[in-house]
Amino acid sequence: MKIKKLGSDIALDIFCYTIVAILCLTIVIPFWNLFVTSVTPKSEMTLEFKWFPTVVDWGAWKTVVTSGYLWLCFKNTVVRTLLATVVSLFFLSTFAYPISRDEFPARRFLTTMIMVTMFFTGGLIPTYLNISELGLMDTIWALVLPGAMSAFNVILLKNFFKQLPGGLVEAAKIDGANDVYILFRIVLPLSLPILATLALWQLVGNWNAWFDCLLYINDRQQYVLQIMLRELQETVAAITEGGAGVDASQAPPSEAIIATSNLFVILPIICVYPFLQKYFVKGLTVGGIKG
Amino acid sequence: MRVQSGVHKLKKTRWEKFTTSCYQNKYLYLLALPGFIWLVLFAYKPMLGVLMAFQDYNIIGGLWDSPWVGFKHFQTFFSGKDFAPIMGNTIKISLLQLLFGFPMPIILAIIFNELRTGAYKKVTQTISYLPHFLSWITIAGMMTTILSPSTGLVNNVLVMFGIEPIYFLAEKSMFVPILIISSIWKEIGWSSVIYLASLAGLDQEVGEAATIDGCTRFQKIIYINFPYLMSTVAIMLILRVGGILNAGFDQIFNLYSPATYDVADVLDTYVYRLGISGFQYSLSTAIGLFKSVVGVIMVVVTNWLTKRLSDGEVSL
Repeated sequence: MKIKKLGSDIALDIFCYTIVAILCLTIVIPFWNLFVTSVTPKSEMTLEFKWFPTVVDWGAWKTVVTSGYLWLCFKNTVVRTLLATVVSLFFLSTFAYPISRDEFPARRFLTTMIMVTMFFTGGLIPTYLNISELGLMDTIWALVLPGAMSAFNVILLKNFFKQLPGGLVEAAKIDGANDVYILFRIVLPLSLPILATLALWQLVGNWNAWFDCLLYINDRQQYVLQIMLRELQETVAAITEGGAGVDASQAPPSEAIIATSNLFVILPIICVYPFLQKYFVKGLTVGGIKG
Repeated sequence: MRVQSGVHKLKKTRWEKFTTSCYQNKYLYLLALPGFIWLVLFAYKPMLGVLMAFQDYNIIGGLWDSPWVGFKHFQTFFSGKDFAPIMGNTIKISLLQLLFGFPMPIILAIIFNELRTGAYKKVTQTISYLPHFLSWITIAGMMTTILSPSTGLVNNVLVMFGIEPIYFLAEKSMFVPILIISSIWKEIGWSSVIYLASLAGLDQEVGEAATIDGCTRFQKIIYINFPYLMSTVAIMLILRVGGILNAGFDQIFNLYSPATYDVADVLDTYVYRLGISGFQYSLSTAIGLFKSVVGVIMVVVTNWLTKRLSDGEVSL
């Protein structure tokens, strides 16, 4: 009896460890393959399976890294990401704090107002026309402002503020501090973990955002990396500023350029997320979806 | 006379109360102001814009001066030749995604839960989260690379086994399976987090008691872990059902091409092409409105249903 039980346990272990290993391989191999493709010269681009590049040619990497346009898009993406994160944290905390205070008369009204947006939105066209009516087309604000608040994040932050010890705020009030001071000097410094989570969501979300740029930005000088990458998949010429392309006879294969640019966009995330994942996970589990 | 002065006095105190309350809370009002303005400009103004679904909207007239046409655009859409294939594709893709994609993270969470705490578990979990943090543009780019008919990894392998290379992304019959597999690949790890967190709340003693009673680990998974997850599963399912007409815009938009429109075109991509590329603002807003109304109805109905079925134990 005991031996039988042990046997089934070992089988279960083997099963679980193998499944997980296979899953990870299916994730790691495509990335590795992307790298192999990025250093493969034209002559070696064949339908032959290779685990490792037969000849290493950094031509595509050189083309990508020396592309002024790519760095311009990189700069646009960094600026938009940082600005959107700061703006979003400002809107979220200044709105979540008042509705977390029981003595605030407009608390119910404003909470309802934000909850409604969870169920109803204008939809694509009214949203698009709205941005255009506000005169935000071809400005960075079209990428920064629409995503600044979301009902989910506001409620998350409100709940966090609510569970902070109430005595702190009362004591500060008795000392004559006003709510603006209390929020920025007392409440926010105590809320750093949740702010970190919200900031990370914004950072990753904005780094990956592309649809807003596709809709609201027509000027190629203001494109973000994701949109450049999207264009690149249609024509490799998109890597240059005017879309004129590079000398075809000299150029590395288009597969390699696409693969390299892709890695270029993915790399910052790969480098950062393993160290920050606990904040992401925390936000997800604190976030209130509980059985 | 006395009564009147009383009323007068009461009125005054109410007004006074109101102004003092405003004055006392002036800083809270001040703090809420930016968010309030944001809500008006970026949430409620576009909501009002939905009215254009009932107009023949034109840019010059705007919402005020465009002629009202009632349900004309809804009729156009429902009786048009595009309605059946678009709705068919949307529901088919969405249901298949749900059917295959939804159980996967649950199974993975149960598997992860069986691994011993340590480096292996930590590393594999971290790797499994990775695709979640990438956009569909980058993933579509990776897929074009590995599915390429001339140099791609997958065709490499097929050729190794003597199979003719396939141009996967232009093959109609391959499109939906590619969608499903790639979205499972992208989200399986990250979606398992919520179930893992739920399993972490399971009382260790229950498992120990079961072991003493002679339960194998497999039996514990079936009779303890799995039932324990059910309430989380129900909540996640309710959340998914509301999006039944969301077939995954980002994914499809970055993977489809005219070659695969027949099987790939869904409500969201149709609305995009009709509205943004075709300038048919009213018609596409009408379709979008139809979509969100269906979404809200689905959430309310499923929520009500699960509440009934679980005797009020599970609901949003």
